[in-house]
Amino acid sequence: MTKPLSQFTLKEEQFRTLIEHNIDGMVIIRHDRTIQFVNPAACRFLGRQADQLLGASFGFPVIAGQTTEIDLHGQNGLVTPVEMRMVTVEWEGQTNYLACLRDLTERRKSEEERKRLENQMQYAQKLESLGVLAGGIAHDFNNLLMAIVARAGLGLRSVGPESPAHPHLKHIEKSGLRGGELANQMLTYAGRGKPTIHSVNVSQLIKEMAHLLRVSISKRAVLSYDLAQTPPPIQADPSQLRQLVMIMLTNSSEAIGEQSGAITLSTGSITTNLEHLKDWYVAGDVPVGLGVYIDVRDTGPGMDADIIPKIFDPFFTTKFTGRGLGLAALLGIVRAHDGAVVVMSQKGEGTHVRLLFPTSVDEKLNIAPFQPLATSWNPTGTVLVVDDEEDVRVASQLILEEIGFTVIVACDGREGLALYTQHAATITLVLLDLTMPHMNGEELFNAIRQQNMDVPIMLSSGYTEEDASKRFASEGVAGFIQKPYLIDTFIEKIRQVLETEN
Amino acid sequence: MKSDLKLYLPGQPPKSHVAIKTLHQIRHEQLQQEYEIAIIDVLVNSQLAKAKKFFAIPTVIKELPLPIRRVIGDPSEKEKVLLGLELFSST
Repeated sequence: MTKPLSQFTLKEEQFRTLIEHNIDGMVIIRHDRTIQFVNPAACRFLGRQADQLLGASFGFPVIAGQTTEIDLHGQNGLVTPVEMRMVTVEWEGQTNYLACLRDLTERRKSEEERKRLENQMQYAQKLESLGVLAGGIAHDFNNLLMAIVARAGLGLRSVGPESPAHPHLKHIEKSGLRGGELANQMLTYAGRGKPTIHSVNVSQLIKEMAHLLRVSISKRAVLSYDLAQTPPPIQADPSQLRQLVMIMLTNSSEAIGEQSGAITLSTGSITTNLEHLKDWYVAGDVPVGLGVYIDVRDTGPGMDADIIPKIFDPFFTTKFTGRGLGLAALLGIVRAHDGAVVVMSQKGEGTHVRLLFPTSVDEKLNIAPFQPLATSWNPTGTVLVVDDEEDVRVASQLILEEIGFTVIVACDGREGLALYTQHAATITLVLLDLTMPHMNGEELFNAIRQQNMDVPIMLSSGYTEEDASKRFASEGVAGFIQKPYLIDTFIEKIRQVLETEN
Repeated sequence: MKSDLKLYLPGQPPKSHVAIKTLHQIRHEQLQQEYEIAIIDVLVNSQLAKAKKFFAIPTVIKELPLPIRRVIGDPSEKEKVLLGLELFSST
C-alpha cells in the first residue's frame, strides 16, 4: 500500500536525487531577483554552469494565470522554449520564488507539424475549390470560343484565301484557339488536364529541347547543363514535361531580367524525405524512395520567404506582363504526375526550383498513331446535334451540313430524345453535349441506348476528356471532342468515329 | 528625469501586441508618460539581445531610474509587471 507523501521522511540525499534527476528545471529567485539555486535541468536549459548562474539577476517572473511560455536563451545561442510556473517558497528563512521550467521543445515540434499538416490540408481544399471554379469557367469559356472558332472557320471556307476578309478571319480563329489554350491552362492548374503517359528519360527530353531553351531565355543569361547520363525513367506526359521546363526556364530568365546572370538546369536521381526539405517550400507529394529531379537554379534577385507560398496561386504575378498562370499550371502538372515542386530562395541569393517525380520500372508506351487528315470525304446520313448552347449548336449544324450531312438539332436532352425517337431509322450519328438542362447528356445517352445499342454517339464538351469521363460513367461512347475545335479536327474526328463503327 | 522601459520580444507572435498595449497602458495610466518605451525584436536585433545577456524572452527592463529591474514572462499582466519593476502608481 502506498503511503501519503506527508508520511514520508526524506533524507537530504533523497531530496537531492529527486531534484537533480528532475527533468523540469527549478530556479529559486530571491526577492532581489538574483538566482539562489538551480538544478541541473535548469542549467541545461540556460546553457550555463550552476556557478555562472548563482547570484546572477534572473528577473521577476510574471505569470499569467497558471503558466507562461517563455524562451530561455543559452550562452551557446540555443533557445529552449519552456513553460514557466511560479510559487512562493520559504528558502533559508526568506520568502523567495520557485520558478519551475518544463521543456516545450517536443510539444512545439508537434504543434508545428500539426500546423504544417493543417496548412497542407487548407491548401488542398483551396486548390480543390479553385479547381472547381477554374473547371467551370473553362467549360463556359470553351463553349463561347467554340462558336467563335467555328464561325471563323466557316467564314474562311466561304470567302477563300484571296478575300481581304481571309487574314481577319484567320486572326479570329487563331485568337479563339489561343483563348482555348488559356482555358486549358486553367484546367491543367485544376489538375484536370489530360496527360498522355510515356516512359521518359528526363535528361534526353531536355537535350532535345536545348535549341528551343537557348532561344527562349534572355541573351544576358548564360545557360549551363548538368544532366545525369541515364536517370531512371519516369512515367510522364512528355509535352507537359517540356512545358514545365519552359515555365521554369522562362521564370528564371525573367527574374534575371536585364542584368547578367546564370541559369543551371540539372537532372538526376535522389532519395528525399521531408527532413531533407525542412528549409524548402514544398508543394505536392514528395516521392517515397528513389525519385528523379529536374532542377533550375538562377542567380536572379531571389524572393522573400513570404512571397514563395504565393507564387503557385493562380493569377499571382510579380511581372508587369504576367498572367500568373505559369507556376499555377506547373504545380497542376506536377501534381497530376504524383510529384512535388520544392523551392528555396532568399532575397539577393537567387532561386532554386526542384521538381521531384517518382521513378518507374514498368515502361508503358502509349503513343497514339498518327492519323492523316481526310483530304476528300463525302459523307451522307443524318446527324442529331443536341446542345443547349445555341451558338455551338448552330455552328456544328453549319459545319456538318457543309460537308454533306443532314442535321437535326435539339436544345436539350428531352427534345433530343423526342427527335431521336422520331428519326431513329435515319440517324447515323448523335453528337451530344454533356451538361444540359432537363435531361443531361448521360441520361439521354442511356435513353437512346435503350432504343438502339448500335448508333454511334459522340460527346462534345468544354471540359477535358478526363474531366468529362468523370461526369459520364456510361460505357460505349464512340468518341470525344473538346471545344473549341478547328473545323478540320471536328470533321476528322467524325470521320474516324463513323469509319470505326462501320 | 528621463526614464526608460524596454520590452524584448521573440519576433512578432500574436501575444506581442497585447504586451505592447499593456506597456503603453502602464505608461499612460501609472507613469504620467514620463517613461520612454522601446520595443525590441530579438530576432531582428540578435546582437543586441546577445549583448544584454538575457536569460529569457519576453523580458521587460526598466533601465532608468536605477536600480535596473527586469521582469520575465508575460508582460501583459499589468499589476505583476508594475510589481516586478518596482513601479508604483504616482496617482
